[in-house]
Amino acid sequence: MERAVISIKRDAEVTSPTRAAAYALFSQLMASPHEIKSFNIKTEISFECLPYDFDIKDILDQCLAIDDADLKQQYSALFEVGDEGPPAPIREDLFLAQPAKLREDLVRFYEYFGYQLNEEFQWQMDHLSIELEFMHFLIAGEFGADDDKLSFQLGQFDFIEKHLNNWVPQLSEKLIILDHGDIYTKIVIELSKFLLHDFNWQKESISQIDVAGG
Amino acid sequence: MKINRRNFLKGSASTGLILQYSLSNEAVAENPYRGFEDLYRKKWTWDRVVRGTHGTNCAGTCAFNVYVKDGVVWREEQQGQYEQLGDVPDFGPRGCQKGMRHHKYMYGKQRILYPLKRVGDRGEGKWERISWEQATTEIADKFLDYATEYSPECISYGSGTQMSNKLASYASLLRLANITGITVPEFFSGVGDLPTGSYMTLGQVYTGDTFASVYKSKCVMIWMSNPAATRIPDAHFFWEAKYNGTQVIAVSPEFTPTAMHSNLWLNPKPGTDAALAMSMVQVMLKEQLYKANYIQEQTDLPLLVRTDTKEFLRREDLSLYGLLAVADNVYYMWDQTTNSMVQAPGTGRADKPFGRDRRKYGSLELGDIKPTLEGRWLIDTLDGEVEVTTVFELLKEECENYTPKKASEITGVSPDVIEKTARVFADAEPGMIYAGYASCKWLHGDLLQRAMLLMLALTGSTGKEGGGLQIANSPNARGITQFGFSDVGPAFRLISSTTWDYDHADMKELNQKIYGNELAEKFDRYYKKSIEEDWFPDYSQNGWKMGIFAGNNGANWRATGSTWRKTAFEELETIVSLAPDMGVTPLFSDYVLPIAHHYERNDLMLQSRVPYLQVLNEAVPPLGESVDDWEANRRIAEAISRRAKERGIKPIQDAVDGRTIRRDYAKTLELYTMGGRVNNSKDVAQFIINASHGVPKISFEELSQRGMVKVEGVENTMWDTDESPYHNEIVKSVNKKLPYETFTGRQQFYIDHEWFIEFGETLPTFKEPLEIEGYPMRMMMGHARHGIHSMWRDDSLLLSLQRGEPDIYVNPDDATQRGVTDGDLIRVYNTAGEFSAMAHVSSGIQPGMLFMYHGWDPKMFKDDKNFSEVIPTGGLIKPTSMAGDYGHLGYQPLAFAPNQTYKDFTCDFEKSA
Ligand code: SF4
Repeated sequence: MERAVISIKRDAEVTSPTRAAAYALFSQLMASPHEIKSFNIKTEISFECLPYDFDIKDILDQCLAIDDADLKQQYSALFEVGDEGPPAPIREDLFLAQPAKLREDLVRFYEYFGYQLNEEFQWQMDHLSIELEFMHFLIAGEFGADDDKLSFQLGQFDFIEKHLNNWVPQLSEKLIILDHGDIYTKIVIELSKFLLHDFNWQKESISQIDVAGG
Repeated sequence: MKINRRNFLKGSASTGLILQYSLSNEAVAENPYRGFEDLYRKKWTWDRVVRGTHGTNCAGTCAFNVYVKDGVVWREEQQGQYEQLGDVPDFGPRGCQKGMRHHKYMYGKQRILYPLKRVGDRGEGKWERISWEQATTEIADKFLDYATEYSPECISYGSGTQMSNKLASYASLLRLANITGITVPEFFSGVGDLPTGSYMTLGQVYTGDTFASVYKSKCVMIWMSNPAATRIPDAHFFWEAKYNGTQVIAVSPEFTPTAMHSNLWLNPKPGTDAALAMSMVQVMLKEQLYKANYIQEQTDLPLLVRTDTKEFLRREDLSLYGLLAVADNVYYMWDQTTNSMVQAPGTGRADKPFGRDRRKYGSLELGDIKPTLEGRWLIDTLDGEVEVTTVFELLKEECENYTPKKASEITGVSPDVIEKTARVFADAEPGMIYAGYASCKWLHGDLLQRAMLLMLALTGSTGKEGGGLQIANSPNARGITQFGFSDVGPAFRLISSTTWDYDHADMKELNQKIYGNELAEKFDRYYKKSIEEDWFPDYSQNGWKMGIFAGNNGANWRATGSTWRKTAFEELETIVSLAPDMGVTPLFSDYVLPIAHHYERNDLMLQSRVPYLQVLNEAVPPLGESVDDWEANRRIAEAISRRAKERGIKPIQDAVDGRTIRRDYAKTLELYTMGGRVNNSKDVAQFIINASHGVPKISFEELSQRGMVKVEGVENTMWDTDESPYHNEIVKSVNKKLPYETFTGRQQFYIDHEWFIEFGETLPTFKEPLEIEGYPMRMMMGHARHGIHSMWRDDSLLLSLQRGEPDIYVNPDDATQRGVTDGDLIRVYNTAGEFSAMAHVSSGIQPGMLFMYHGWDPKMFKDDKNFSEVIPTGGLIKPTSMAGDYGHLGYQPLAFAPNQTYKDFTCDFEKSA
């Protein structure tokens, strides 16, 4: 059996730019505000071209209303510091208690598709923001590839299945339980929904072909 | 295509999230992706392999290859390139499960990655991530406030073994402390590791050789130590020696992994070891199993003692000249040949009562003298006729209290076994006692060490290859102190942290509560007397305002746990931690500065058990915003200079050891970096290599390539040459007959200081360990197999090799009596406090005792309370360990100071509700 993409359903020329933008947006939102001014972003992205019903305009507006110091404080308190590690680690490896081979799997994904991190980010290749950026990268690949879109399409599907969807829903649950009443909980809840939409849509666009013709 | 992630995100923000990666199809053009299996077709490769080790207090300094790819450490492997040294097994390959796990642990959730400022209550764990600049500026302001308003003495900068074992790191602390005048508590006695009994007897605490010396022993007693679990890279020497015919005898109340592999296991009741040692001495004396020539020449056993005063016979007893010359270090022996009293060789330089000068001029050589060991004589003195006898005679009398039968009643070890062991040990040439630091952690640990040294002296084993007391050694001319003092000279405060704690925590009150008023008053009286007499320094004048803790989980290892935390630690106005990992000390701090871990720094390790200088290399950049200790201190120095200038702070006049020192804090950075000549930890490491005696003069770059390099002067398994970096005074005394650095110039088993006479401790003896009335169980602790102090204790894989949480060993009968079964949570308690842990029911534990491996951080326990809650021993300052004005006795940092002890208490347990 081999996998193929039903290109008519996928409609990459139309869906890729918006999907890529959505991932990039989430990547920025989940980056540490100590390192990147997350919410200094334009909000004119239209989510209408997404192949599923999703919008985070409300959340974005709320984000933009929060001052930088508060954002930093909220982010650190949840994701970066704590007496027994951060309450909700923002890195997949940490969140899942350092399972064997997880980080190697990430690096193999990145290496295979030519995604390289500069030095300061290499040690945290499992950071949610970076994983989301990698999705953006793969979608850009899908958009730009003339011959082999399939590689990028299958890469997205596998990455989301093996990694993002394997922990972001749990992260979202954890944040709900922690109940800090902060903006990041809202963002991760939305992200979790978004990933599910995107994953389901991708699933629908990929089919199995019996190459033996049987 | 290399993506600069930061630019991507910044770019995205300004351009409305356009697609950034339009060329990204190159990578898959050759290898189309069709499933995740494709990811694994390519062979995994490394960007580089770097030499390294773990800069902690395992004393292993194991040479490792560290494998790096994409800026991440993925694994480590033993370097395994140690050569064979002579006819003993070699030192490699070296390693342990903790080190092999470090590539994972360094990325664990316990890592501190950013400077933190406390926002909740102390200990609450609420933090704000702040910048280095903000952190160091605020710390510098506090520093300047305290230093100028009070004295820099009220600011302590304590380092734990995680830091002080790394030479460049520790050197940077010493330099900062030397420049600023802040107080450095010495941790040797502070954690109860100082072999004071060794110092009392030999005038030296550094008596250890390389680990390979074990192989040269004919009988090694592993006493209060568990190397099979705690010295994993070197324990093989014991078992190789055993297969080579050495008798390996383990002595511990609990059945340890070491006992399991030994020829014989002796299990005295906890705290009765000195009675066991004295009993073996008794057997050796009774059966004349001692080496008379050795003890006549090397020890004070033939010296004459007045039976009326119990003091040595000195020249001042005999002539007015003696009184005038203050010749209180001329001692006498009885010569068999002439049947007369003669001055003992090697004694009696009036101008230098003790110390190195006498070593230059005197000699222990007996010549024609044949000292008598046994006898009593009447002699004329200024006080009239008095009876004198030998220390040997007095020792025989003392030993009658420890016949094997009597000792058996105390220790629980059968008389036959005591006798047999004594004979085996006496027959060995040489015999070795490999003693753990636990022998220093009892209130009367000095007496045990003195008894051990007596066994070794009687058998002529001290100073012989494969013999002697093996506890510690240390480089004798350290490049790190030269680095600390370079350009500025010594101007620094090294203090006894045990007495510092007594001055700054409510230790007398604690003694009253736990041990009663009588003991508390008595100990306090002697403590104060020692200070009044100026035998020990007084730390009570300037208070304690600010504590900086580096590589040091001080709030974990302190005896008295939360009592110390509440009465001293939490009373501090400002607490700063520099740490790679979160623990109870950072948790209670106001500022936490993130420090690089073992594979993220350049440094050196030099440990006397292993004859190699080992490198640490920066395999990957420090994680997050962490930096190495040199850099952290540089940032603090920079902030102190900057704020001193901005605030217009004038130089202060400081006084250290009676000297006036001008401290200009605006110049802190300039001095710290030696005017810009030293810029990073590599520079510091190179300075240390160049300045250290016995270390090959190699460039740091070359050392980085090689990983480790053999130190100088390794001719056998001992440290016996002047070329080596380590202390060799004892071997020289034995081989070259140089007097010892003791009051008598000999191995001194008799101490006639008035306090020793008062406390009945003139000779080694046994004293019952203290207990808390009404509590029957003795709780013993030891170093762990799966952690080095608190490091790695919380690692998930290592936890999975244990019980997954802190556990405490209990005897099955004790458990049954209390309705406890294996795995139950039990509450351990006494008048000091309580904690809970999982019961680990084991017949390897004697009835009446509990055993727990140490290092578990309080945060791993119910209610954040660990074992230290029931250890109330922090105020037990042994009076005789503060004696002074007696030759070699008197405060000597890292040599003679009271240990913080941990063992003299009892408790009880019950099933947790
Ligand atoms: S932790 Fe110590 S003993 Fe273990 S491998 Fe590292 S250096 Fe060796």
